[in-house]
Amino acid sequence: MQKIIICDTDKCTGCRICEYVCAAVNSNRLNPRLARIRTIRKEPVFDLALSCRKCENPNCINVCANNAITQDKKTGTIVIDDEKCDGCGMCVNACNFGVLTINLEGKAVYVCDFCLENDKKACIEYCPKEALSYTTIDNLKEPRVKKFHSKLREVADS
Amino acid sequence: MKGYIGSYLDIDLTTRKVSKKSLAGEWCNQYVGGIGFGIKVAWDNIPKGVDSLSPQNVISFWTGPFAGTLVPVSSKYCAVAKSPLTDTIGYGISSGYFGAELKRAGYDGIVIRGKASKLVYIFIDDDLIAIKDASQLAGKTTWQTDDLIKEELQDDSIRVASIGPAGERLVRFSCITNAKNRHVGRNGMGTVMGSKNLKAIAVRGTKDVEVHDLRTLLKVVKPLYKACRGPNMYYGREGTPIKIMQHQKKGCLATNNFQKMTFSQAEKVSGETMLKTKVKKIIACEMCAVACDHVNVVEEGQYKGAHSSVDFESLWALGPCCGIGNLDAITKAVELCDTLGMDTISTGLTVSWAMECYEKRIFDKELTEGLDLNFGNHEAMVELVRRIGLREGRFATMLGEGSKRAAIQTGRGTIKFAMQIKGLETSAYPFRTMQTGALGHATCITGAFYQRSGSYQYDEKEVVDRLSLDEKRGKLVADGENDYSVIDSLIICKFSRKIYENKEELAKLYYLVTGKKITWKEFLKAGERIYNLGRAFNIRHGFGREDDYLPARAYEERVKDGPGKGAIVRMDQWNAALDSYYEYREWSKDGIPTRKKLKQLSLEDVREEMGV
Repeated sequence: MQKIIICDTDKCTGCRICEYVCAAVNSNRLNPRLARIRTIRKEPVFDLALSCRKCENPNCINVCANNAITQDKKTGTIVIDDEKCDGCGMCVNACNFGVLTINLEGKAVYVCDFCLENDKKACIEYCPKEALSYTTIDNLKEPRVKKFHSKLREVADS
Repeated sequence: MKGYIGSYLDIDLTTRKVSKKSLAGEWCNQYVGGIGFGIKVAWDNIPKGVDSLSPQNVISFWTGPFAGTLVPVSSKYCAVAKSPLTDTIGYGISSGYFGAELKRAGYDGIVIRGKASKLVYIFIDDDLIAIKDASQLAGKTTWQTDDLIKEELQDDSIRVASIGPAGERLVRFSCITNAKNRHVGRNGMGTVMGSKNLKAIAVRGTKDVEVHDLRTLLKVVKPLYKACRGPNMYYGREGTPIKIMQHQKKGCLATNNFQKMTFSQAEKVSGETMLKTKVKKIIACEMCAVACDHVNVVEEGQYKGAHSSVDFESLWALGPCCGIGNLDAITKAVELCDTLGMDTISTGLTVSWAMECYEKRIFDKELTEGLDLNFGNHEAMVELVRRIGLREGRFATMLGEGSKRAAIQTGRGTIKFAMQIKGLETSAYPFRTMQTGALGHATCITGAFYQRSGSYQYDEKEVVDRLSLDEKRGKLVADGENDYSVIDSLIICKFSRKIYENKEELAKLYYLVTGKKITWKEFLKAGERIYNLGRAFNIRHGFGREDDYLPARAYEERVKDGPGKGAIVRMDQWNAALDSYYEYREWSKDGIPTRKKLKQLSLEDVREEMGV
């Protein structure tokens, strides 16, 4: 199973620091709209930071007319060939999570490349609440099961 | 200079003329940003005699050099105008997402003059500015307005600052709301928007904010973000309401409109109780690692479904100050203030004033239009807040004028119960048991407010005798005012003050952002200039020493309960402390900045214009 960036929505505060530092590190610019990760808030109490999910059989690849998008077999990372991409935006349209972005200044789209599997990912490193982690969905199972168990116990006790 | 965008919008709603103006470099050096710019614009544009609700009043919105950068807790903006509540200079500061977005749209600020012929909103879409019809938004709450504008423009990433029905109907303490629960709360800045038929400002900014040294900035801010979660930073954990019990223990929890200093039901509304039973989520503003915003959700009972972010001041004003020990009702009342668009502190204290009048039988049920306004009656409080926001009925309409005007209208000595200075309802730091705080409230250029000097902190930390005054307090207050004027001009959140070892660190951040080297001492000079100009504005509009006094209760009634029992503000001590403040400021005995001082601050022209 592939590792992705997973956000603990209980911890996420919607501060956008992950977006700022992503754009600063990867584009050398201060503009959260250039980030490869996005925060979403639904009032009153839901916050989430979301980046590429590394789908199996990804929509973005399937709709690309230029064969500009491939997926790294080992890591699952989406790779965009800037030479082939003509910026038509079909992949942006097809992504269920809206995590691809059209680069308004160039023709290529971009998406989280997980800092090329570099250990240091700015979004995770700078998150003040430690809400982000780079892990597999499977790894989340144990803590979730434990959390659920303790909830059950609370219900039983009351 | 980097950090600043270097331009602002000047919009005349009467003629619908929009001009893009460049920001004078001299302004940045002399007034820093934020409220510094706002007070300068107010001084330059609002002459003597301008009614605060007339088209001649000018409201300006400003960010500072830090908004949109990596500097922690910096996505802030302020609104500055002549205040309809106090007739002094008025301003408030909000955070959320609006400030940084405005910078990315390419503007440091917006100056708004005149009055639209019908309700409009302004849409700033990078370089395109549209003044749009807002008739479909008339009477809508701030939350509805936020949603409806995003829906109309089909973009959820747009940031909206709007007024609610209260602002449209000119309730004098209306706020400006953005991100649904962040507000330019004090001094009725929403009322000024309402008087201009301006329902909202919507912004979409897609450009970069440029800084001098991004690489170093990235390195420097990292430990600061960590520090925001440090052991002293209770704001993000327990939240500001933790102060309820701290104040209770010190005899500083003003209860029943300041008649008592302890509250029998304090534990029911304490921060600890709130965190355990009501807080559903802790959220943050843009670029904030502190995250102080505690969102309450009421899950059952008569207020089921109410949700709002409740901080210490709001909790106190609509809770203990009205004798109310019901968190659900307080959450509901804050929600009503947020959605109808009113300052929670002024709302709470105007209600508590009415409650004292009711308790003293000056008001009866006929006058209150059926409301049983006893202290502690949470149903009546919630209903009255709703009526004030909608200006429903004669009684609530009168209260919408604020406690001072309502008291003058009522007469019969009720001004004694109006806990305000210069017309602004006071904050949660009671005069008699926090006397350094009291002096700061009285000298504050916008009326009774703790956030303009922070002088209450000396009382809180007990580094002075908080139950008396002396000639040393003037310096403490004035230094605090200068300091906070810089903070409010850079605009960073005051909750970040503990993350810096010393203020020079802020000056260093300013260098990394702007490329300009400056020391904190030089900053303080700008702070002093800003505060003096604010004072000059007030003098021009008829204020003087006689307005720097506390409500009569502080001098006439001794504290009846709690550890501060017997405390009173002695008039001789008060006058000595006030003198010491003027002296330290190098103002005359009447509180007027001297020619010498003004010259020192490069404000020579101001002397003539003050009209003294």
